[in-house]
Amino acid sequence: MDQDILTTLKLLMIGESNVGKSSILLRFTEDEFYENMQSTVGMDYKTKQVTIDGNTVKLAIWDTAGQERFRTLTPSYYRDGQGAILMYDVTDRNTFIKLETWLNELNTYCNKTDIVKMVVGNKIDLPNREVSTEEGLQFARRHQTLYIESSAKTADGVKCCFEELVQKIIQTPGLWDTHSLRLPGNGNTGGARQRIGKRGLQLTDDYQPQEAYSSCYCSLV
Amino acid sequence: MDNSEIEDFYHHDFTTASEWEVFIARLEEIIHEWKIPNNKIGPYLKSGDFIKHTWIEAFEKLNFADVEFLLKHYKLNINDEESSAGPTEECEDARSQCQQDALDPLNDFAVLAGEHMEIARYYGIREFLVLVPAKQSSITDETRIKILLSSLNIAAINSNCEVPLLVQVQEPWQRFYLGVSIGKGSTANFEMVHVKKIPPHCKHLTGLLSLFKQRIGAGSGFRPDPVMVSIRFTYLLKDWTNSSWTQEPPDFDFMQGETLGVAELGKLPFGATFDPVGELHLFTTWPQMSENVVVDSEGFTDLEPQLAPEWTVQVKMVSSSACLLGDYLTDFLYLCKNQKTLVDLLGDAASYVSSEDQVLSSAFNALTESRIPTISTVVGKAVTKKSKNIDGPIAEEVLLPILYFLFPDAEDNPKAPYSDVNSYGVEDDQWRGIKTCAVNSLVWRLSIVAAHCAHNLGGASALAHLWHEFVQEIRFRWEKSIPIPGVGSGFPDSVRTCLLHQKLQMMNCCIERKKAREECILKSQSMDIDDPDTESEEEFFECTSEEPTDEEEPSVKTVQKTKHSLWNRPAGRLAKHPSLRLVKTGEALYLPVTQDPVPKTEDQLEEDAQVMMQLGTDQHASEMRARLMSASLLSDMESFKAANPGAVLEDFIRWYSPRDWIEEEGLDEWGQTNGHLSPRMMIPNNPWSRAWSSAQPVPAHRQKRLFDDTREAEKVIHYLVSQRLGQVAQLLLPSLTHAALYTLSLQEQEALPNLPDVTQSILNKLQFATKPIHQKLQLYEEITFDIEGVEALVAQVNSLQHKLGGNTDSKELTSFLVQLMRGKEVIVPGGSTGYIGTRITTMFREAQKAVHILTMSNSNNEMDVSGDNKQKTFPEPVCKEFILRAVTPRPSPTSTPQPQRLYACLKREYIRMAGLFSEDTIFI
Ligand SMILES: Nc1nc2c(ncn2[C@@H]2O[C@H](COP(=O)(O)OP(=O)(O)OP(=O)(O)O)[C@@H](O)[C@H]2O)c(=O)[nH]1
Ligand SMILES: [Mg+2]
Repeated sequence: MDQDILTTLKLLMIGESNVGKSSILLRFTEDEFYENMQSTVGMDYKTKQVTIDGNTVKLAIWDTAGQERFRTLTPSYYRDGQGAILMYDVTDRNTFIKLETWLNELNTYCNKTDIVKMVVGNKIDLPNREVSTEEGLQFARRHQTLYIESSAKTADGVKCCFEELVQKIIQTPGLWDTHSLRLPGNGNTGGARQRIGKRGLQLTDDYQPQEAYSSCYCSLV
Repeated sequence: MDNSEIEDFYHHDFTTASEWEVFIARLEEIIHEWKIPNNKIGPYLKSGDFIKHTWIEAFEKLNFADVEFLLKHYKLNINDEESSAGPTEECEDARSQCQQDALDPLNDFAVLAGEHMEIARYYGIREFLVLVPAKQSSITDETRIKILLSSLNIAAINSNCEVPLLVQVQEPWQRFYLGVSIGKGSTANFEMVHVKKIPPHCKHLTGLLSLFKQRIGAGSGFRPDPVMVSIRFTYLLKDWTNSSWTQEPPDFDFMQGETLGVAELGKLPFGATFDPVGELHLFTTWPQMSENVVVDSEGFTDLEPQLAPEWTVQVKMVSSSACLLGDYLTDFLYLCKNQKTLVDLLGDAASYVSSEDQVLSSAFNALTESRIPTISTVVGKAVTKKSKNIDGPIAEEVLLPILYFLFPDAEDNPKAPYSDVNSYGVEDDQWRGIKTCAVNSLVWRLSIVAAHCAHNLGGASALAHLWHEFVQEIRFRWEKSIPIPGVGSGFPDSVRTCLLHQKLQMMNCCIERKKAREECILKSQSMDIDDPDTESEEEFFECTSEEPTDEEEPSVKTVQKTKHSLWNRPAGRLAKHPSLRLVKTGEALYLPVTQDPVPKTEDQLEEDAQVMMQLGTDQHASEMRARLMSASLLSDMESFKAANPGAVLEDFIRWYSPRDWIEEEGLDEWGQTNGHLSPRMMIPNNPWSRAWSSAQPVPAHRQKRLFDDTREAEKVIHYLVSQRLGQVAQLLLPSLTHAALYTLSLQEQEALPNLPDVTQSILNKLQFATKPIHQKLQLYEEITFDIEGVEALVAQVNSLQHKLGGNTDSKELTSFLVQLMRGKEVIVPGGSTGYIGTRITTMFREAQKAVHILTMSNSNNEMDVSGDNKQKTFPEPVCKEFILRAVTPRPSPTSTPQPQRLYACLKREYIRMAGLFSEDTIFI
């Protein structure tokens, strides 16, 4: 297994109860689906390694419970999350309406700029749809998030959902590459690192104070 | 290794002749490679071109016998090659580029940085090749110099190169160059004189002129046109007398007790401790004029600095200016690495004594306390015996104001009460994203005061002393249930504030709950008196909450319950649900009073997450996690059962997870819609049903507390008290750095228009640095370095502004300062008579006066009394430069007139003359 891991990313799964968060996660990690999934108590945790554009990253995924009462408990685990999946059930408008609340919740516990968000409309295999794709897209656009639709039952969009989120995180400068990153001289990190560009690299450990000073000085005088 | 080959290499035989030939050939080869020969004459230079444009450099190595040389090429990079129309056509008169440039006065006295760039200044040329011995060796031998010069000559002729070819001879520091430029019909020789002793006749323009004329006319009897002269005198100012600009560090020794004000305590110092401007160079220039309009001789001179048409200045900054804020931060960073404990620094008195014994009694003390609390140290003194006062380096008259500054509510008339400290982290806040604390809140003040201690009041042990007192006060407040001021209310904000701030918030949460508990007890006691029949549930509060964990077994509880309350009696109801009724009994559903959520600090959250993660990811781990997480679910279920006797899981689910209640057709016997649990809630033995069946009806206040404020408070105190000094400093570092940046941001300096941008970029770094719980010192070192750099710049501008602008603040001055800060030579607007010029003149006069007074007092003053008391405004110039130009026929009167130029530079320690003398090579 021991492929060189570029970094570990922390992802959060949030949204109303019963929308299928745990089911999507199970589909993603084990490729399984239960018609009767137990309702999550508080939160659960799973990991998975994925390789995207030649970079292997470890995902630490925190699956939270959707019940309102748990909201006093779960946000504690939002800390340091780099990506969040905000899920609703396309056959239940109420879960879509509640997304706004979840988003606010997320913004109070995470710095806006530090986390990439993805809105997921789940259960598209079911016939009785209540929220259209357009509405979902509009919501995502309004809140500057990624958007995808999925079904844990048919596995549609599940892989995509995680991969796109991870890709976006890797491309966003300053989001990862912090303390979790301890690389031995390792060739295959090039891809991601180059794309990160200057600002991303600045934040790494090998970032030169000298440069920082001179750039600061130059721009001042 | 096989040495034979290498030895072979050295066995080649070079004769002297062939060495020379090889050398010349190599010179030609390089010249050819660089494509130098085929260059055309460029456009006339504009004023300032020498400085404005970059100089292109190239070099190649070559050897003369075993001596290594470098041939270097320098060329001014003028990009507007297209506009070169003018001279190319007209100057068919065989005048080479260097000759044209030598006569052009527009770039006189240009100061260029960089090796060998003085050549451009000496001879006024825009392009040249210079041969330099590698390894800084010197060429002093006459014959060698001659050989090198003739090599250059031959190479220039052979390669048809008009670009001046020079060679550096003598000692490298002498910057001594000789050379030649072979043009089509003329040759220019580059000559130089560099001597320590200045010949008397060379000290003035008159002498230099006759020297020049003699050299170019050689007594031919021909009357040439007047010589053109450009002159520059340089004056140096180092002694700032009244215009010096420095900042004094805050002096705590002078501020005794009451005078030690809030203003000093809450501010970080800013500025340089000695004047950051080292030198001011005033250049007074007389641009090119005819020799007969100016007189400068032994007895008389027209060259008074105030009369010079052009004034320019340049400033040199002190290389390492000591700045106060930078020093503060650097000192503090250093403390961050200190491994000593408080006991190491303060002695055993500072050791942690658990205050459990006081906890029990404190509940009642709080009520008898006067409204205004006092500072723990004061109380400690008064109350005697268990006084934990230690002998720290901070004197009491300094310590007390500090403590009152931190805890203003301890005073009757607070000098510096906290304003609203909750506004922190508002979206439009300038400091959003920096994880520290609100400006001027407790942690903010503490970090600033800590920096004062570390820097002025005794270093490490002073910080330890302050920390000890601080923790004492926190403990005191816990014991007396007095909220800590200047800390944002609510739960620890692990997103927006630093760890220390969170710890104090946690402390306040504990204090608040403790107070609530105590009030409860009080209420129930008074209630007992009023109405002894009321069987208050709170009555048992204390015993339940103080119960050790193992007694929390359901069996024990049941026993208690049957003893003290009826099984079916509803308890802990918050409100009646507007519509829902219990499925089984039809009674109204009541929302229960539930336990308050548990506040946690960031380190605790991390610990929790670690525990969860370490369980693994398999099914069993998931169940374990569910079990760990179900404490609050169970508590809610118990409260629910207590509030709703006869309730079933369905009832609970309808309240708690309404989406797991599937409605059906029809109404039940109580008139509400029928329904059933979702399939997943009906899975046998799922965590929800399991928790439900184990839940006992216990109202929230009788349950085991999910949050044990006493334990948590003790944990915080223990945490604070057990930090090593370095850890203490690290806890304070984020807010101190923030405060430093804040101090920087208050600086306004028009001459540094980018200051806000730079502050912003440091802020971005700080945002990043403050994010993790454990501080990365390296990042803070970088930020400190940045702040220091900016502080020095601001100090420099402030000093310049003070010196050159006084109180005036004009656009003209600002742009003047901006230029000066870039290290440039800047034209003084209005010259000697303008505002800035007048300021400069005054500074020179003051400095002269100071010197005069000094010499007067040293030598017997009678000497000068008789002498001219009109003491001069300006000192002797540190440098006098002259450029003389003429066009004369050489070598004979019948030759074509040729450009001639002499640059002379006179300093106290030497005279240098650099001449470019041309000769006609056709009409000799
Ligand atoms: N048809 C269909 N059913 C789904 C899908 N995803 C989830 N479900 C079902 O929806 C129910 C709820 O799924 P969960 O994954 O437990 O939902 P959750 O969001 O984790 O709920 P909480 O843990 O209570 O917050 C389960 O019975 C799943 O079988 C889907 O894509 N299609
Ligand atoms: Mg779930």
